[in-house]
Amino acid sequence: MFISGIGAISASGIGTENLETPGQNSEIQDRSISKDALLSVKNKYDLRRADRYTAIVMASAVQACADAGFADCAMADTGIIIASSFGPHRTTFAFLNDILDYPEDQVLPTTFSHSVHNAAASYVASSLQIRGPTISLTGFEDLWFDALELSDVFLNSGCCQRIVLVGVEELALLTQSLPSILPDSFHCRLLEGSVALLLSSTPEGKNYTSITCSRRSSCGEKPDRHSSCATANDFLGGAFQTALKALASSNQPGTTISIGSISGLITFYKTI
Amino acid sequence: MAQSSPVITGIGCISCVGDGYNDTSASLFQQPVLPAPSIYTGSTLNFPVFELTGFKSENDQPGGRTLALLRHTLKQALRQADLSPHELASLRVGVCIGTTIACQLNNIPFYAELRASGTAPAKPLINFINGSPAEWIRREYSLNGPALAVSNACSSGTDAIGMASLWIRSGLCDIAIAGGADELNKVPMAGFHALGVCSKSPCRPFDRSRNGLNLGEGSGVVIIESAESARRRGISPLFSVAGYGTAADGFHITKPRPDGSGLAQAINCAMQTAGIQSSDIAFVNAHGTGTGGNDSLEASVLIRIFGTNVKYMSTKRMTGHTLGAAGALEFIFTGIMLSEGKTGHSHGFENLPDDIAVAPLTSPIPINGKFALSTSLAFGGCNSALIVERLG
Repeated sequence: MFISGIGAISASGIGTENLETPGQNSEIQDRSISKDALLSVKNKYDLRRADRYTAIVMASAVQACADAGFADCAMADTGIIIASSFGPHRTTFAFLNDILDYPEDQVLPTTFSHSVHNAAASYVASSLQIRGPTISLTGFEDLWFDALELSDVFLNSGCCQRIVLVGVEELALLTQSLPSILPDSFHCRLLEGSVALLLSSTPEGKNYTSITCSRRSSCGEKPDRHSSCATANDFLGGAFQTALKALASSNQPGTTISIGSISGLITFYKTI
Repeated sequence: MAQSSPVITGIGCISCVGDGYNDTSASLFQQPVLPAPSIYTGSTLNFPVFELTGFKSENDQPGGRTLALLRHTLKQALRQADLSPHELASLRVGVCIGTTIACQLNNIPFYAELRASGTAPAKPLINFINGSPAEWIRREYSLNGPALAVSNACSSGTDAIGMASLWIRSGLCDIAIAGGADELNKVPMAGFHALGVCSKSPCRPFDRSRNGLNLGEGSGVVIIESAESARRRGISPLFSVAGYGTAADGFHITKPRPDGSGLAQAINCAMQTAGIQSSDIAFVNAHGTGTGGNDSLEASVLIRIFGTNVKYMSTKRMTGHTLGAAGALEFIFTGIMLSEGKTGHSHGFENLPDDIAVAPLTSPIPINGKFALSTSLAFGGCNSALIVERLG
């Protein structure tokens, strides 16, 4: 499959220009996306009721599509896959606030509906008129790799021509508290942001590079997985690295990124 | 049949219809149990639900009750497929599980403490992370394939099976463990009540007096492999996953697209995968929740595609809406009906409403056809369809 467009949002801002390599700028204390950046997305796409998580997803998704030249086009033959370890947990907890603070029969339906994982995918689909598969995935181990692999499977199945693949994490009370609750597993402050790749079955758009997925664990080998050590940082790191690799390949025609997974760690073991 | 449709060689299921393949197969054609107010969730909301009161679980475990339900049915499915942990570890096995509960940390005591003090005990968080259902199975059985939890609201189970079937078709996996599981707890109960879609009485899918759904809990797991793999292992397949289609409404977060084109696209895509025509479908096990909007839209799309002779029904009156498990359970029910050569029927239906042109099945009918369809319409505008093929 081919990476035809890239979008990103992080504490550094909207766009891929300032996309940081995971681990860079560790001295930065506030890793949150600015309110202004998110407000601009919400206003532009009329996300009046959408939550912050949705705005983070939307920012990268629409940028990836625009990057490939699909800014104003209906994308009926396109799917969307959103992968997140913690999902819209700020909104989930907002709904728990309602349950804790009010009688059970007086909680807000809008808060509940936005706490559902696939609400963000719904907004992206509506805004971009995406009519293919819309899949929301969660996990803590090989999530980004498995999501890339699934994108390839969908594209090869012929049920859509493109996939907008989004990796996203939001900082909120839970993710900000992880280092204090599980200090052995979450050593550092997590990244917040999203990366979107517009993946195509044929070269189009910016055509940054082709990308292949290779599962390298052999059968019968017991994977060395430490589930409680898997971090959203690792996960988003994989998404950020993939985008950075693709951007770096953009001026090298014919480049292929091969992405592999060994025991829960994403590796880029080969760049041709 | 499309070339080399993946086959089902093992089934595990628990719902208010029954526990296990044999129990479920027998009870699927009997009168359903009545839903009742929840006993164990601690909810004060007094609407009826389909709660598995006989299934005991410890919440203080990875994945909580949802994973307990999933593990229960996983063991059933592996036993029926005659797959040992040793054999599984020697194959390329993927896991794809739909859920709406196990992907969210909605542990209320944990959150209350975190909110109040800025910190909280680690164990509920570790249980949440370690209990991510697909990854739990992958670790437990030392598997090396993909492990994905699908959180597509009410179509999660359908999508999990559909995606896993694509893994088999593509050659990515030798075996796939797929399905869906969800427990009842206070969060979905409060949420669905707030949305105003919970009925105060047993639900009545497609009926004139339908006034909402009943929530339920359960789990359904299937073992999927290629026909060649089943032959090689000497296992007789139960039925096959002939087709899968999924499409977005691209319309609204909670309202379905009024023209039903998303659902139609999903069904057409599934039939295309299966290489069949609408006339090949013997019956449809519809999503049929008992809500006003879903049922009229779904029926209109089914009539548009399959004509006024369409045979369709809903099993929601037998299980309640089990959310992430619903699609998986209904796929299994569809396969059982097809294998038994007779449909179930739409319990709770009595009178045709003005907004539905063709009545669902009001009694079981014998069927000779080879294919049946199971549909799911989800919050967020996800529409998914699976086509089941009877073998032999």
